[in-house]
Amino acid sequence: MRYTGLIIITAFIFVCLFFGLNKEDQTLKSAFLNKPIPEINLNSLKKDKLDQSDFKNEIILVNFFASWCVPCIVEHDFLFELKKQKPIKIYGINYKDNIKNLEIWLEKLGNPYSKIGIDKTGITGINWGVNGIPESFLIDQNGIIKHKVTGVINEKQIKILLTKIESLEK
Amino acid sequence: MKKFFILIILTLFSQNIFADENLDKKAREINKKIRCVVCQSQSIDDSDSILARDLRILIKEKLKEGKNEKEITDYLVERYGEFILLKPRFNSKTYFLWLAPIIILLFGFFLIKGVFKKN
Repeated sequence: MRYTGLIIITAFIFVCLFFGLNKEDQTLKSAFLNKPIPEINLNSLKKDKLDQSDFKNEIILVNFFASWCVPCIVEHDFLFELKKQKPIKIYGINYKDNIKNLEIWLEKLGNPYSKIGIDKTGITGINWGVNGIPESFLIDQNGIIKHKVTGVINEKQIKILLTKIESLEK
Repeated sequence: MKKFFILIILTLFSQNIFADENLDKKAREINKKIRCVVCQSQSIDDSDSILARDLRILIKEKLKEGKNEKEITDYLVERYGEFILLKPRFNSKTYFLWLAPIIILLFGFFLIKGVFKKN
């Protein structure tokens, strides 16, 4: 009876640690979630610009990728699948890549992107808080970041994205 | 006259070297406090990841632009959240984190004191 308080507090700490360590979502959320998109001003692959003015009045998925990134090859088919299920605009941001390799890559695998911005130095990646590629951001009609996918967009992520897009369309 | 010019050039040159050394030193001090978000348990000073290398370059560039440590860390926290700081800031979200050891220590102290008193 003497140590009841101590046992209760120790048990409480262990319960907190247990639930804390077993939290399902271990991925880092974007610091920009529900905030306007960060600065973007890139030359695009087709010699025009990808900037803030491209993010108006429509739902857009921004996908950071590179031809040297192996998981991006896996993701590529899923981007086509997403477009098939929901024809939204996907902007690609080509992260620290070689343009020639990128062109060969797109020719070989196809191009799901409406526009591709070239982030040669990786500064746009840092501005957007990107940890590594592939990484994607779902942006609403007002240019607000609503969802972030860290890693490959796969079947499970497509379902999540479709639900999010539907709720944004309402 | 020739010697005088050589002296001036050497003085200017050495000043540049010292300025660069100071900048490097300051940049490394900041780098050691920034977490590599890819490797997580390392600072960007220790990490070889692409992102860590880019962040090191960025920090040095910002110092060259005249930004101070707080402005640089604020910029990074805005983009990556407080997780990017190896030493979390003391604010409403981290009160428990910082104060828990003291609370537990005090609790232990009073508990031991109580046990000894009873005995």
